[in-house]
Parts: sequence; structure tokens; C-alpha cells
Amino acid sequence: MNTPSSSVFDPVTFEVLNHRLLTISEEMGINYMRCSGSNVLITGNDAASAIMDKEGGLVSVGPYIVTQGNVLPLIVQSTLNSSQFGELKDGDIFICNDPYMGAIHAPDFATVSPIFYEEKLVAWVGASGHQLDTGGMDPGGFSVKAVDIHQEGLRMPPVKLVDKGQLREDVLEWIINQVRDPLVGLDVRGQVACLTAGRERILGLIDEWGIGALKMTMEHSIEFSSEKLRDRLEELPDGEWREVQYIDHDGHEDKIYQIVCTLTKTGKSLTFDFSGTSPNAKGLINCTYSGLQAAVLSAVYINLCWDIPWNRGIRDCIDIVSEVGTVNNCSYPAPCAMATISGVIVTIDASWRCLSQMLLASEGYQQEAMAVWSGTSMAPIFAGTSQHGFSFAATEMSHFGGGGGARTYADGVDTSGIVFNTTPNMPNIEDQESEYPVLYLYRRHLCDSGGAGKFRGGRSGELAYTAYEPPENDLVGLFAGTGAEMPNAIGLAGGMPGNAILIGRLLDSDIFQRLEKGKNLPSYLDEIVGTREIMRSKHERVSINTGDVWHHCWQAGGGYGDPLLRDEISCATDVLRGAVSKDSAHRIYGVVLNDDGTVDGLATKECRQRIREDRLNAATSINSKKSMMVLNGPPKMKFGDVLYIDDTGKSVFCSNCQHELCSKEDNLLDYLVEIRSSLSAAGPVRGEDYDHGRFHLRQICCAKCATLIDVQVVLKNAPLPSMKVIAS
Amino acid sequence: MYTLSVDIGGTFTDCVAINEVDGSVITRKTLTSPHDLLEGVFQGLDQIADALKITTPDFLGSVGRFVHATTQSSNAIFSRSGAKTAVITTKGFADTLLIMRATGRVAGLSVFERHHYRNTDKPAPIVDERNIFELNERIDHNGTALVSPKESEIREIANKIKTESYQAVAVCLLFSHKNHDHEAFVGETLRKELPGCFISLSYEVAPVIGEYERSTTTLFNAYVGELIKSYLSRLEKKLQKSGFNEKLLVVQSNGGVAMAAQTIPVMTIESGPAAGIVGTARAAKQLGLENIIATDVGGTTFKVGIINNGDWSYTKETVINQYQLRLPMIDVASIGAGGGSIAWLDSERLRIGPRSAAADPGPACYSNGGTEPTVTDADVVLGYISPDRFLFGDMHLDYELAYNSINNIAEQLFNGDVIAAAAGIRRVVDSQMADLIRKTTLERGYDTREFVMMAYGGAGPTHVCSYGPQAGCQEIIIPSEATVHSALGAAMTDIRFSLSYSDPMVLPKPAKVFEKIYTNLENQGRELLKEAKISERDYSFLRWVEARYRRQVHTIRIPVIGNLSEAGLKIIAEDFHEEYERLYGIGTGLKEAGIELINYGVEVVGHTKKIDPQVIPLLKKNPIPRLKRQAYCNVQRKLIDTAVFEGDKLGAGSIITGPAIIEQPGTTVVILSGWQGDVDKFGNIHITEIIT
Repeated sequence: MNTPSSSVFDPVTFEVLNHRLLTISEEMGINYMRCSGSNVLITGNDAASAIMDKEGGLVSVGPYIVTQGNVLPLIVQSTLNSSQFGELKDGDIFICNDPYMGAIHAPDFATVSPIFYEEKLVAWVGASGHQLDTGGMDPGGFSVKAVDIHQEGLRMPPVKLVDKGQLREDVLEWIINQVRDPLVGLDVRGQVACLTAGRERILGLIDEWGIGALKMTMEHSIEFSSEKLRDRLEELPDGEWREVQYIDHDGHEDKIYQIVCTLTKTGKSLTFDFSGTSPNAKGLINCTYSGLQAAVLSAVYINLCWDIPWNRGIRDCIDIVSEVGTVNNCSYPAPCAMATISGVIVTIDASWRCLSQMLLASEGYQQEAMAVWSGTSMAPIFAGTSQHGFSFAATEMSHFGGGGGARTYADGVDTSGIVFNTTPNMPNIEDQESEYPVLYLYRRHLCDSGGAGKFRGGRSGELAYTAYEPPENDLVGLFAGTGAEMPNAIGLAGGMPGNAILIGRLLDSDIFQRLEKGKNLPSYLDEIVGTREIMRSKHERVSINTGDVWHHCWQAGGGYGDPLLRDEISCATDVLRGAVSKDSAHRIYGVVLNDDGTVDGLATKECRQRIREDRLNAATSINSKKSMMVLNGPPKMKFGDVLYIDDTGKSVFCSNCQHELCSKEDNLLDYLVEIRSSLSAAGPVRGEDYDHGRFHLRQICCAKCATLIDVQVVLKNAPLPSMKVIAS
Repeated sequence: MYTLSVDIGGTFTDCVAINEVDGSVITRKTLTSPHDLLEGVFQGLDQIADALKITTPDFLGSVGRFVHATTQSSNAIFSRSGAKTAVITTKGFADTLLIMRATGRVAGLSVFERHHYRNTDKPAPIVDERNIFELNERIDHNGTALVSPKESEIREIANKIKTESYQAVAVCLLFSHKNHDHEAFVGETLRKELPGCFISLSYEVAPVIGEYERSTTTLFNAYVGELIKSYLSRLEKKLQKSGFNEKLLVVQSNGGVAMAAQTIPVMTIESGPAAGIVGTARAAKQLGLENIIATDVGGTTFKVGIINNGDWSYTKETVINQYQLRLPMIDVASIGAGGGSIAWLDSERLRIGPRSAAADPGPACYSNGGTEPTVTDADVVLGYISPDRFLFGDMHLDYELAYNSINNIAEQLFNGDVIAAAAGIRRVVDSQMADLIRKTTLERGYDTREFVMMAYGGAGPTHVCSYGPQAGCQEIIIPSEATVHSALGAAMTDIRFSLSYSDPMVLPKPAKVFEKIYTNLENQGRELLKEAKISERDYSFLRWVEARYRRQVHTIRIPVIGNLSEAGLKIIAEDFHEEYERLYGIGTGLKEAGIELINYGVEVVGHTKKIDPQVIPLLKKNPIPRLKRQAYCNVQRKLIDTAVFEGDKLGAGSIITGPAIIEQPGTTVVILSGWQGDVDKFGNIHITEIIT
């Protein structure tokens, strides 16, 4: 094999080595998972592995959890900045899980290892994975009542785990001593195996191709990504977008936290400014800067870099402005165990909607825009003694089937996954029941969950289970979720939000009496007799007694476009398939069906007309001081299929009725109208069971034809979403 | 007498006739005829009869064994042309097939495809909510019936199915693998009520834990059932009319064959690649080799299979059209790369695939309207493939078009040097295949350096001299008849039924519990072999169990030897532990958590007579090349005079020193500078590095 030793770019060598580096990142992940064998890691793919350059710049990342790969460069930084280690040595491995030094939350343990060639530092390899326990107040890593990070268990700054190739058993023993689950020890060993294999493979690559070729490949790989993203940014319109998203309940109080994201795009640069975001929460919903950065990057990767390698080059194109001491950039010692499924994912949602609105303003990229996916995630944990005699603490992982956001040309995908995981996975009911003392009554798609729209958001799901022959009768439930009072999956271009989460239980049900009498099992909530109770979205451990039925549902995707524009046959099919109720078809889509499920064309036309009239009757003019909507672009520019600029390039028109709204320099909000209503105008399970009168639905529409231009979920006294496009 | 094997692939139908007396082989390749698959089959049979200078009926009259592999079932699934199918499932869980465990959106997709979230979808549903009926019934994880199904309700559902003229019904109830009373009762009632319907019951098709995978497998079986059954009976009838007097044997995804009537339709899925692995195992055995990595490079896919200690392994999960299935299927990893992979420019990067020109329009050199450069075009430009010898010389390749297609890449990245560009394309694709082989082997716990590589399929022999060594293999074998390797593998495969049962149990448990499971399976197997008219002395039963550590996810399959006693269980536990540490590393098993046995199976085998391959004549003289042609040299990095040999002019003992090209019917073997090929007595070519 020839060995080019210079750093001169050679397309063939680059392509061969770039693929090799990607394969090595994947192989590292394989080595890790093989050793660990932990369920969270393998079934949930809750891990990442990566190769970095000598400064810790991400070069290539394995295929698993998007957010986790992004933290490894920060861990390298913390290691390099630490004064403890003096000189780094070949074969050293450092472990760290401190959210204030790079990790997202304490359960994610990360390890990094420097690679030396001829005694010079040339690269880093790293791995990160979610652990089953971290010590702390509660098993499993989520301590709902924690008020500072010290109550969340083990908190390691970069610590030397392997010294020049020798595993420090004392450090490993110390880690194992701090946690409740022996699998953690194997997991840490798995990371060591992973880094050792990665290091050997990279050294082998250098032997074969030369250090120059490796350097060239790493540099070029990063440059390629940043150049390609910059070129793409140049093609996208300039402007400023503001989006506001919320976290409900902090584990202590029923308080709302807002995340405000202002995206500014000028030429080839992209700035995410989070000024206006709420201060740190008392409880575990915060995330540190690591989580904030991971969230912004995830949103950018998915929305702008579908065909660009996810590495340091992307980070180079982005500025993040944020104040320490806020809910998505918390200050020590704020707790943040639940960061991934609150601070991080909600930051993704806010950034996502800014980005998708930018894509919508570009004809070339419009088809890449998506409404927000399942806006939150959750941790429904049940614990106790299983039928096999073991004690366990398990997370019910069905919520990994969140709904996908609608696209500009198609519905969102039903039960499509959670955005930060490229490979979602829900368990089989048979595996769950064979493993844990529970009996499921149903698990299905949730009707009316997908955000209504011309294209519907993907559906989420709902499930119910009861304790089933628990040998010690010690089953407990603990639940931590976000987005019960309001949905987070906001629609696009007039599409409605998807559903919110809901958790509840029915105490003392008659299930087992029914079985004794040979009756059928209930398969819908309203068939179950019992005392119904809605649970807080974050609560402490509560007993699950035999006969109690617990149920919950998770979030679906947002819709695209005004539901009145949905093809009526698709809507009828949705009703026949149970995706949309007859009531919502009528009330939200304006589609009237005959008894056999076919469309009553005439009645539908009338109904849709009436809804438009009702909207105009309920509409008020907009106080435009607090926000704006400006579409200032070249002639014929389109914003999705709701607004356009005419051939002469003077004015903005409504795409539905061709009504001239205003001059393109004007604030459209002065010429549009809004309807403020309860969230349930978007459908059932939109937070009505958790309502404190704080949120409402803001439907902005054309003053002439009442077609929806944008539908927002807004909090009293909070900043409003805003948009200003200035394209040339 | 002849053994005849016909393997229908996406592009070609391969026919192989083996003379049972001397082991000589006649092969023919015809174009697959999608509108009526039998057309391509009988064309091939006519051609073989012609070659033997006898009539087709005379030829078929002398066939003692006819083995058939078909892609009919995959075709029906990909084109959604199966039966109108209804599904019956447990109340509360109708959406299982639509939720697809959420993974359905990305199952089987590459990392790059998964990164493009917006462009991912679940596959178009084969059935949706309107075709799925819920039944009031429930069985718990112990197999205890909590709610029994009522006949009246089943009849009501049957009535709806009848009124809406469904052609097939799939029944999958929760925990039916554990207790199939309810499913059997539903099946019985449906068969009474719906005599014309194809009924598929999950406990019969895939009696394993995991309702989603069991449901998809049952659904697929219902969906393709009638099609496969009627296709096979049509073929059987037509063969009989044409003089064939024996029973038709059908290749299964487990690498064995079964009689047409015994074939569970869904088990014919991907049977061709399975047969390729069987062929590899057989070739390895002849050569006394234990560990082989089998690589098959076709037009659009690159397949990798592993023979370890002389045996193949089975997959835990099969992905077809993004649906996850549980089938007894030989483990073959499939990756989207092949001769048709398109090279393209991504800014200043040279990218290959994942898009493929497939057969239509095909590579630019096919003169079929394709203008984008493919790997095959690069091979033509580099002088490796003779434009006039492609596909038995039946298809002429256009050098000009191949050259022009690469021009743009050459202009942009290689200063206009088309040869350098073509060499670059080849180098990139070969190294990517090498990376994928390494990853695939590592995932299965093996080290490529301990394996010999075998390469077959249209483009395998052309590329293996680069990707094989890069993947870490020291020796490469091109099997004789490399292009009909799967058909040849199928020809001599055994009758095989893979029977299994799921029931997770944590040790210790009395041995008799397990012994009963195995005895039941073996009794079923005995019946099947009897049906297939296998004589008892050719029976064999290979027991296995899939187990895991209680708290860890990895399950591994362990052979179970002989009847089970308490001591036998101990051996299983020891073997499991040893295999676990071999695969995952010393100290990786959490022993204290205990071992859980999950799936139990018996490979029921009816051995068939094997024909020894023909030994080719020894050739003392050095073979003389057909011609010398300009072809690319990987060392000098330019076109140089290269010897081109005709495959059938080589004999045992022939040594071909690289750089050289060997043309075989249907493929071209490339031996690069620094390597040599040694022909063995069966006509296999062994490629190794020349030690200087």
C-alpha cells in the first residue's frame, strides 16, 4: 500500500480514510455494547462513540444517540484544562460524568483517551453511555426531589481511569462502590474496551497510510462539513426568528419555565440567542451548557445537515449566546438529572421551529422543513420485586414511539421516534410481561394525537397496565415527564400542535373481579371502573397496588398547514383508521362524513365555510408591538404555501385567497388577525386535565379568508414567537 | 441421472445440472422474466437439454432431484402484489403491526439514510386498522388463559372477512407461542367458516416470543401464501407435463429444502443467498477449511456470510422492507453496494453509492440510457472486464460510454485523467467493502484474520483481490462456477426443518422440563421427514438453545448434545459461559444474575446423497493467455499489458501470476500485481500474496 505522507488533499485517500474513521467509530460502539450487555444501552441505543482531532474537535461520531456524541469534545476540553494530570501519556483514559464539565447529566458516563504517534498527541477517542444508576437519592438516576446536583449521586470530574494502559482498579472499585447496580462496572469496562480498540485501529491506520494522511483526512472532513453548511446557509434567506417553548413543573412546584430561542441568520453565519430564558429551576429539569450545545447541534444536524457529516465543522458555523444561570444553561449547583428529557429536548424544539421556518422561506429547501416532532420525552419508572424474585427498576420505554412532525408534502410518521435517537425502539408487550409483574390492557396509537393540518402530525400512543401477581406486592411507580399542561410539538404554516402527555391511574378497579367472573378485559379507559386520578407530570414513588390501573400517553408530532385545506378523502380515511375522531374531523378539519364513512361533499364545503366565518367573527386585530412577521424577499418568493410575494416584488399575498396583505417591508401582523382560544381547540389531550389557565392557542390567520398562517402555543406574559425574513 | 437446480434471482435465473455419475456440471443463465417466472426457468431448461443434445422431456425424465429457489415472495412483498389479507389479534393490541415498535421507520437503513430524518418513513402498510380485527381473549406470560375466545365472536369476525372478500387471514394472539389453544381454536373456526381463505397462524409459522416480529412473520406468510402455493403447484404440473417424474424440492431460508407441499410460504424469502452460504460451506468442506467469510457482490447488493468451524449461523432477526421478522434464516448481512453503485461528486468529494443504477438503466456501458458512472463502468475503463465477454458474451458493453460517464469526475478531481478517476472509484468502493466486512465480522465476534475469504456473484471475483486483503484475509478462493454458486449450493442441500419453541426460564429448573420440549419438537420433525420420504437412517436431530444472562441483553445459541439430564444442563451453562466470554470478552457476563434459557430448537435434517465434484485434469504446461490487454496496474498506477486467460483452459495445478485476468462465464477474476492464483483439482482458484 502506498503511503502519501503529506497533508495535501487527495480525493481517493480522503474518501478511503474518512469511511475508515466512520467505521472505526461504529466499531468502537460495537465493542462497547458487546461488553456491557445493558438493556438501556443496547435496546435504547443510549450511547455514543467518537473520534476527535488533537484539540478535541469532533471528526466522526457513531450512529447512536445524537446528543451524547456532542459532549465528548467538552470532556476533552475539561481534561486538557485540568491541572491534575500534568503530562498526558499514551494509553491514558479519563472518565467524567460532571454536567458542569461536559456531560449532559450524571447518568451519562463519558471516557476519553489521547492517542499519541511518535510521542506527539494526534487524536482523541471517546465514548459515552447512559448508566442504570449513579447513586444519589433515588435508584435509576432521576431524583425528583433533588435540589442540588450533590443529591443526584456520583459526580466525577475527569479522573484517570487507565494509566498508560493499566486499568486503575482502585478507581473502578470506587465507582462501583458509589452505585447500586453492578452492570455499571461492566459498562465502564466496555468503554475501556471500546477506546482501546479505537486507539489500536487508528494507530494501524497511521502505520498503513502515514500520519500525514490521517491529519489531512481529519482536517478536510471538518472543513468539508463547515464549507458545505456555509454554502447551504448562503442559499437560505437571512432573517430573525424567535420561538418560545416551555417546561411545566420542576419536581417541586407547578411552575412554568420558558426557553426563548432567537435565531439570527446573516449570510453564512447562524446565531442562536437564548436571552429571555427562565432562570435555573429548583429541581432536576435544568441542563448545563453541555446540554444546551448538544440540543442546538442536534436541531442543526437534523434540519440542515441531513447529507453533511456531523462533526466539528458544523459547530464552527454556529454561535450560541446564553446566560449562565438559566434553565438551559444552569449554574452550579443546580440539579439536572432530567436534562435530556426536559431542558435539552425542549431547547431542540425551540431551535427546530426557528430552523424549519427558515427552510420554509426557501423554495429550494422548503421540502426539508418539518413541524416539531414529539416535543418531549419521559421516564415512566416502575420498580419492585419481579415474578422471578429479583428486585428491579425499569423504565417503560414505549414513549420512544413519539409522533413525527408533518412535512410540507406528507403526514408525519406515526410512532416515529424521539428526535435525539437515530434508531428508536419500543419493547414488545410479551417481553415486558415476561420480565415484570404487570399486565397490559392496551397499547395503541392515540386518536387525535397528531397535530391537525393540511398534513397531519404523526400519531403518538397510549397504554395502560395493572400490577399482575407481584410476589412481594411492593410495586411502585415514579413518573417524570414534560409537556402535560401544554404540547411542545408545535405545527408549521398553520398546522396545529400535537397532543400533550398525560399520566393517570384508576384506583381499586374491578379488573380482577371481572376476570373471575369470566368477563372480558377492558381495552379502553372508559370501560374501566375505578377512582380516576390524574397524576402530576413529575411525582415521587407511589405504590401500585393490585387492581390499580396506570395509564399514560406521550407526545405526537405537529401538523403542517391549515386543517381546512386537508384533502377531505385523506381526512375520511383518517377517521376510518381511527387516527382522527369524527368529532375532530368535523370541528377542526370541517369534514362531514356520511354514516358509511364517506365524505358528504356539500356539507363539508358548507362546514368549512362556516368555520372560516366563525374564525373571522372570533378574530381580533393583533397587538404588533410584541412580535413581528415580516416577509421581505425577492419577487415570487414563497413562505411554505401560506404566503407569497407577487411578480413585481412589492407586496405579500395570502396564498389561499390571493388577497394582498401588505407591502413586503410591513409587519404582516398589522394586517392579519388572531384568535385566542383554549388549547383544546387543537384537539383532545392538549393539557385540559392540567389546565391552570396559563396557556392558550394563538391562531393567526388571513383577515379575508381566515386561512391559518401560524398556530402557536403561548403563555400569558411570555414573549411571543416572531419572524423577520430579509432575503435578497 | 441428473440433479437439477434452478435459482431465480432479481436479474438472472440460474440453472445448473449436475451429472450424478461423474459430477460434471452444465450451467446456464437466463434473464428472469418477472411477468411469468416460469418462462425464464423453462428457457434455461431448454438450453441445458440443447447442450446435452437431448429433448427437454428426455432431460427432465432423467432428473432425479429438482431443487428450486425463488424470489417470488420477496417480489410480492416489495411490489405489494400479495393477497388481500385480514389480521386477527388480541383486544387492545390491534396497532402492533402499525406501531412497528417505532423501529420500522429506520429498520435496515444505513446510518446515512437514518441521518435524513425527513426522508424516512414506515413502509406502506400491508394491512391497516381497517383490516385488523380485535378478539376478546387473553393469555398471560405463564400461558394461563385469562379470557377465552367465544366462538360466536370469531364467527362474527369471519363473517366480516367473508363479506369484504379477503383472500387470506393472519392470526397472531398474545403469548400464543406459549399456549396456542386460542389460536388453534380461531384457526379451526376460520377454516370452517372461510374454506377458500389462506389461514396463517402465528404459533405454526413463528412460535417465538415477541408479538411484533411474530405478527409480521405471520402476516407475510398470509400475504404471499396463496401466491407461493399456486406458483409451486403450477411449476410442478408444468414439469410433470414436460416429463419430470419426481417431487419438487423447494429451498428455504434456513438453507435446507422441503417438499413443495411442506413449504411454509414465508420461508422461501431470501432462500437464494442462504443457498450461497450452503454452497460455501460445502466447498469449504471439500477443501478441508473450517473458517470462511463468504462474499457475494452483485449488481446492487453486497452480501457477507460467515462459516465458522464448518457451520453457518442463523440470524436472530430478519429485516425485509423495514419489517422485522423472526424466521429460521441463515445469517447473511446485506449492504447496498455493488457493480451498479453510482459514483458522484459531493462538492469536491468522490462519493460512491448508496444509489445504484440497478439493472435499469444499469451502468452507462450497458447502453441502456444510463449516463452516471458506476463501479462496473470503472472496471471496463480499467480494462478488467472485456466488453465482448460480458454475460457469456451475450451482452456487449460500450467502452466509450463507460469512459464518457467518468469524464466529469475526472475533470473535477483528477485533472482530466479518466483512468485515475476510474482507479479512484474502484479503490474507494473496495476499501468501503473491506470496512463493512470487518464491521460485520466484528459484530458477530470474529476476527477476519482467522478466515479465508470466498468471493462469488457477478462482481465478487473482480474486486476481491483488493477488498479481501484490506479486510484482513490472507487467502482468497474463487469457487469454480462462481456465478451460479447459490444454485450449485442448493443442488445438494439437505432436507431441513428448523423447529423452535419459546419459553423463558431461569436456571435451575428440572431437566425433564426441557427434555419434554425437545422430545415434542423431535416428534414433529420425525413426522415431517416421514412425509418427505426420507429413510430413517438419514435422519438427524440437532438440538440447540438460546440463552442469556438474566440481566444482560445478548442471547447466544448453544448446541445441546443428547438427551437432557441435570448434568447436561450443567454442561449447557458451562458452554454458554465459555461462548459468552469468547464472544464478548473475559469477565463480561454477570454470572450472579443467573442464566435464562429463552428459545429451544431442533434442526431436523434428512441427509441427502452428495455428489462428489468433478476433478479437472492436471495441466502441466503453463497456461497460455488468450491475449494481452491494457489493464490498470495497482502498483505502477497506469495501464499496462496484462495477460487475459480463459477460465476453461486452465487445469489443476495451473499458476497464474498477477497482474492477470481470468475470464469465466459470467464473471472476471482479477489478480493484481504481487498476487498469484493457483487452480486446485476442483477448479477453484486460490489467490495469495507472492512472498518475495
